[in-house]
Amino acid sequence: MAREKREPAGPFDYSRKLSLRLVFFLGSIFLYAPIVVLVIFSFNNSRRGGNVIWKGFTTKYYEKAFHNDALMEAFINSLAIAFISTLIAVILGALTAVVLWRFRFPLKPVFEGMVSLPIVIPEICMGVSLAVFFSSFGLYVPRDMPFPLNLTNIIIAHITFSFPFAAMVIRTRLNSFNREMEEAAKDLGATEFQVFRDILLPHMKPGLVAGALLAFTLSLDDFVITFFTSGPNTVTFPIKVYSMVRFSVTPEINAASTILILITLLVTFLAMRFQSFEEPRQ
Amino acid sequence: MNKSESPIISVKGVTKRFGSFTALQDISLDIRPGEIFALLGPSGCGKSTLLRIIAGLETATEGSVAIDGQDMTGIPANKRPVNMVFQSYAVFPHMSVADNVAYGLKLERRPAAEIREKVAEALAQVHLSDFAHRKPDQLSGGQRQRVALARALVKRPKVLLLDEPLSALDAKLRDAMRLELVKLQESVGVSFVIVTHDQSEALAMADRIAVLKDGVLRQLDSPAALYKRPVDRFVADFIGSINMFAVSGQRAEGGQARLETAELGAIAVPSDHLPAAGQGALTLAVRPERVKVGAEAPKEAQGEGGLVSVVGRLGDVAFQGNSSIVEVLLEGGGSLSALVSEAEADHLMQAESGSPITAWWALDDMLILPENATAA
Amino acid sequence: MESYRKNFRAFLAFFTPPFVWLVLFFFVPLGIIWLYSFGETEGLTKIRLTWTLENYKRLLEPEIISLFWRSVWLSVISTAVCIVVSYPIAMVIATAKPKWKPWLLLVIILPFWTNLLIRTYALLNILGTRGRLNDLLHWLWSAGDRALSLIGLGDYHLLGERFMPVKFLGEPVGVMIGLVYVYLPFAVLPIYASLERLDRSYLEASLDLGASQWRTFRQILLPLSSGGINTATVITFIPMLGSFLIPDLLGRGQVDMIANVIERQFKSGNDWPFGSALSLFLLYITFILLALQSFHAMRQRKREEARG
Repeated sequence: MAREKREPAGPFDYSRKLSLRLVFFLGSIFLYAPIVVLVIFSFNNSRRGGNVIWKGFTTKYYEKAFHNDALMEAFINSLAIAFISTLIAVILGALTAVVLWRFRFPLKPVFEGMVSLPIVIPEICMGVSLAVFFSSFGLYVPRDMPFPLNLTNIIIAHITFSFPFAAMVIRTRLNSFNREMEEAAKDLGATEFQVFRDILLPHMKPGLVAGALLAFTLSLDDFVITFFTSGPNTVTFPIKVYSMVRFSVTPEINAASTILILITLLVTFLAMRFQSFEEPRQ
Repeated sequence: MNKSESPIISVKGVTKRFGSFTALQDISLDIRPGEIFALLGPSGCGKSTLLRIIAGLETATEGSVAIDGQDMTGIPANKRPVNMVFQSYAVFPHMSVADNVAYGLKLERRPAAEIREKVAEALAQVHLSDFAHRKPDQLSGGQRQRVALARALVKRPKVLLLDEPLSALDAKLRDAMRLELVKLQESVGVSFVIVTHDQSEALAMADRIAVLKDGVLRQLDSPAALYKRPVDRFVADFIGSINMFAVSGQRAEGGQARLETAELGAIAVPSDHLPAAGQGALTLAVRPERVKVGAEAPKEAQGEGGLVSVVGRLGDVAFQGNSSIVEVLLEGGGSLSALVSEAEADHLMQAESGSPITAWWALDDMLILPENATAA
Repeated sequence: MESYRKNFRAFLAFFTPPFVWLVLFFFVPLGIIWLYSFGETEGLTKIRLTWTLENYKRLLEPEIISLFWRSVWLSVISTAVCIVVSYPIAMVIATAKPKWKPWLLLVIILPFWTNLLIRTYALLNILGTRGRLNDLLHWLWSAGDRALSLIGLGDYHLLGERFMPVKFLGEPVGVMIGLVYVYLPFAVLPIYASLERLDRSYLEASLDLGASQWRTFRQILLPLSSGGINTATVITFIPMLGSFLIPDLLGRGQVDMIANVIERQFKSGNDWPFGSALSLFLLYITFILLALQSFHAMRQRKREEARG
């Protein structure tokens, strides 16, 4: 290590130029400072305007957040939506990926474009169109539907925007599949279905997991589309936080946000673990 | 080999077209029980396609394949009594070595005890018994190939198909594996059909070789026959090294034909030496080991056919261990090479480059080849 | 790849569910707002399809034009800042030691995985007049003031009598900080990818032929990574132009962008036809930008093919 450090920087070792490193460093500070401040102030013992002056350490706002029934309900709604929509999004994504990877068919580029459209169009357009769609088709689920059926609209919306992402991830994984594996299995006596179950599906697995984790975070993350498809009784965590922020800024929001950040970190960590598991095998 | 036995695989008039491209043109050949049969040709000649048609992974546009007397038309790959070793080996990465070998038997729903026994036997055959529980990513390329071999052989196929089995191995391992494949074939006794682009591989391993070019079967013969009696210019050039001289003009003179070449001048050959079939310009060819070099050609003809001699200047001498290749620069342009012994090479090395030298060979050793023997 | 005809049943089994889902829950809703954009409100909730062009004509009202103009320049400046900042960041990552690369990338990507609302909210706390950013500026001001006093210029109050907190919230600058903050990771990734693919021997050849570092950067590195810059521009500009949350929270209703006005038509304003027309307009801009980008990418690919 020490010897490597003494090596003079080559002409294109941009990573070793002080000025460029400084940009990277300042950029990272810019990206992280607000979040770090938010986490720190979630422990601030101050009643109002909790984000201004430090008044000592406390965890009472975490307790408060946990005892805030509306917030907890929103949180559970968000998790339920994320789980259900992820499950269906991964199935639809896998089907899409297999179709695009395996078959030649007329108007295939059109279908490809159709699938990638939800990824690229502005969220607000999708949110607005789904809101209009649900209301004008009378598809608003009755308010008294039992949990989690009352969340159907939001779940449908989340599946719609997340399955193309899952399809993209799974298709990338499929591209590394060696078609000779399939032929070898057939040669050994496997039927189409057996090839799919025994050979293709195990190969797809890391893609399915990565796609699921992506769909899950996208669902937990979404505000705009949920904002348009949720009703007054179906509040998700981001929607709840939004209304709290509009009402007043309290340390409780900081606490709740910190919890969600931790969950996101955990999911990201899992995703990374899965990727580093798979890479050496390639 | 018992030639009276009926063929284990019989390919009849197989043609394969991909759109407007013809990959195989009316191929007919028989593969005998217990032989190593090589499909040899440059890349893109259709040899792999033919193998895949036999395996059922590809369907022929026309023609049929019969395995052990049974027509295979319409029978999918998973129901054919042949198995394949793939070029990439296609060892399933998520299964252990033993599971890979057992996969085909499990699909047949054999009893577990029988599967265990057969897998152990197959792994012993390819010397992988100690690796049964390893995952493929813990194996070397050579070991993975053995897994692929065991996995195919455990199904007791009537014929084992191997697609470029040695191409992914490094040079040293390749030579060892050649020998091992031949031994393995002897011990299991089933026919091997090997696809290869490497003529030395085919010559070393196969009992018979089919040479393909552009989807056409050019010649099917034993290695020795292919080497000694290639039917056309392509086969002669593809198998071993050879000196070739294009014939620019041809004239009949009594019982003889006078063939004009730029390098050798006019050469008279008996008319019955000319190829009976084929089309295109003729080529004169002689293997380097048949060419002698010296100060002067001997006056006495060795065979009945007489000698062909040509005067040139000494070019490079390339040392090859126990022999050397001598380059003779010809007066009429071009050059030819001769394979000479170590002693002769030492002698030639003393001569200065560019000094006059004569090359000669027996007329009987010279091949007269058509451009293409098969085309009508 | 095989033809769908060869195994039609399998094809249908895989193709139908995503296709039907997409049509039903994506294209039909878009179709409905397309129809609504030619409609008129009747009463509180009813909309009649009259094929009027009135909603589109309203896009030309000065108010709406200034709204578009504001959305565009906020997005253009923010995109430019993103590109300028992310290029050196991408350079650092692309030339880092292989074992460091994934970690440096993670540093940039991780915020992108964090909830957009939480990130905007975190920024809201920082940007207030009594927020951390003003604290930082105040500290810098005092330090500067003290430094000036030390060299005997204290009496002139060159930095002003007193520290004046900067107002970020409700101002365009606050919204721009928010846009850059949220979309910076978007810009880094494509530029990084294009630099990563680049063959270093081009740069070495340039130096070898006598070009300076700066010239090499300007004439070799920049043009060769233009594909990445283009992608980065488009994928940051499109979501910026349609962003709702950032102007909503950081602009405090003073710095509206297109999405905020769309939202108002559907939530409080109750003018769905006009909201639909606005949404479609935003959608068309997106399509045009994407088409330009893919056209450019296609031309670039052709040029690369020609180069061999």
